[in-house]
Formats: sequence, C-alpha cells, structure tokens
Amino acid sequence: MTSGRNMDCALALPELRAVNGQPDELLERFARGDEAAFEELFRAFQRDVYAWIVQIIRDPGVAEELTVETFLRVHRSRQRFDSTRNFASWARRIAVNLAISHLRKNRPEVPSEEAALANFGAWQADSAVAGDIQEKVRQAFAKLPAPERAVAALAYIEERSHEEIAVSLAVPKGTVKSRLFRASRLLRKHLAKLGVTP
Amino acid sequence: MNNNPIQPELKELMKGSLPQMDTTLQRDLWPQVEARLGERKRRVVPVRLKWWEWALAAGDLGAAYYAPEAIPALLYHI
Repeated sequence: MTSGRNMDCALALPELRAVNGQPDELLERFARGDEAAFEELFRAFQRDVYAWIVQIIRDPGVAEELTVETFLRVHRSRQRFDSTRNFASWARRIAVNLAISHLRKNRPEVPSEEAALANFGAWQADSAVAGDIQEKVRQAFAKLPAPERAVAALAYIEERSHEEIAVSLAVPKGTVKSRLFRASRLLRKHLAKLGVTP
Repeated sequence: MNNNPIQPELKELMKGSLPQMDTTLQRDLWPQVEARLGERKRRVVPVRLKWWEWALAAGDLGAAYYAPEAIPALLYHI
C-alpha cells in the first residue's frame, strides 16, 4: 500500500508500481465493481492523486475537488479498466487530464497583494525578490497557456526533473523540453512587457 | 544555443515569487466521494422518448382498443 508515504517523492517513478507489485486481486475485484476494493484503492491513492494535482493547479481547495472528481471518473470507468495494467498510471492520466483541462477553462487570477500575504505571507517575507516584482512574475506566470504553465510550475517552482515531469504529465521527455522552452520564452516576453528583465 | 530549457535567472525569479506547494493532503476525502457516489445512484435518469415512439405507443393502444383480438399478435411482435 502507498498510504503514509512521503509526498515530496510523489512524482518518483518507483511509486507508480505500488499496486502492480502486489497480486492484482484487488484490481480484479475493483474492475468487477466491488465497492470495498474501490474504497481500498481510494485510501491508498488519494494522497498521491492530490499531490499530482496540487503541484499543477497550485490551489489546495481546487486540488481537493479535482481529486474527488478523479476518483468518481475512476469509479465510472472501472469496468473498462484492465486489471493487468498499472492502476497508478491510469489514475494519474485521468488526474492530470482533469487538472490541465481545469487550467484551460479557468485562467488563474493573479492574487492581490493582500491575498498573497494571507496565503504565503511568511514565505513571501523571506523571499529575496521584491514585492512588486513578485506580483509581476505571478502575472506573467498566470498568462501562460495551460500545458506550459503546468510544465513551468513543475520545473521552475517544484524543481522536478524532465523525466519526472514526463511521467507526471504522461508526455514524452521531448515534449516536456519543448513546452519548457516555450514557457521560458513566453515568461520572458510577458515580463519584459511588465518592465522586468530576468 | 543553450540546450537546457531551464534558465537559472528565470528559475530564481519564479522561485522567489511563487512558493512550492505543500503536497500533503490535509483531510480524508472519502466522505465527499461517498456522498457524490450516493447522489449519482439516487439520481433517476428520466426516460426521454422521441415523438414517433409516443405515436407508435398511441397507435398500439388504439389498435388494442378497437381490435382486442390483435393483442396477442402485438405482444408477439414486441
């Protein structure tokens, strides 16, 4: 089981094989529609799914809602699930697709200075970057298209490697690199318009 | 050309402006999932019939009323 793991490692590759390492009896029961098996899988994976989503969405409340929605979709599609496949990869794909599509539909509002202070005031006070520049960086970040925003958040803020991001977003490593190039170019462009030159 | 898409000065700005997220789930989400599953089960899907299905049903009822001897034949064709 995967519960109680250190979530800082939630993107690490070996974690994905947690259920496949066991006899797949649990997955067979789940695919047959056994509600207890679904609850067991939920309890084993809710923390992982939340961790995948919150790093992309960057809003704990929305990440909780999308975690619930991910498992509702998992439940709805359980009869189509092949119990010889990796449950974590399947759930991750559903979660990431939901997160990216949420980013597409809801461009994040740039938090006001008061909201930013309320959310991460202590962290902000420690930051070496001046408050007005922080605000402009947040504005530039919010303007990125959804796939580039997800990659930029994982690479620049969460400091994930290209391999981890590729696994996390279920895309090839080359796609991660090209999205990151594009995100960096757009960030520089938006920042320059706001009078910030990195 | 620099082959690394991570640009250190941009990384410094980003890290200094946006905090790393706490990836720890603060509460058990099972009650929400359970409630939503319950809602889904309780929700009765309304049966929507097209106009010609209603017309066909009316025709069958009419036929059964005016020609009751046709009922076994109608039942046979259902």
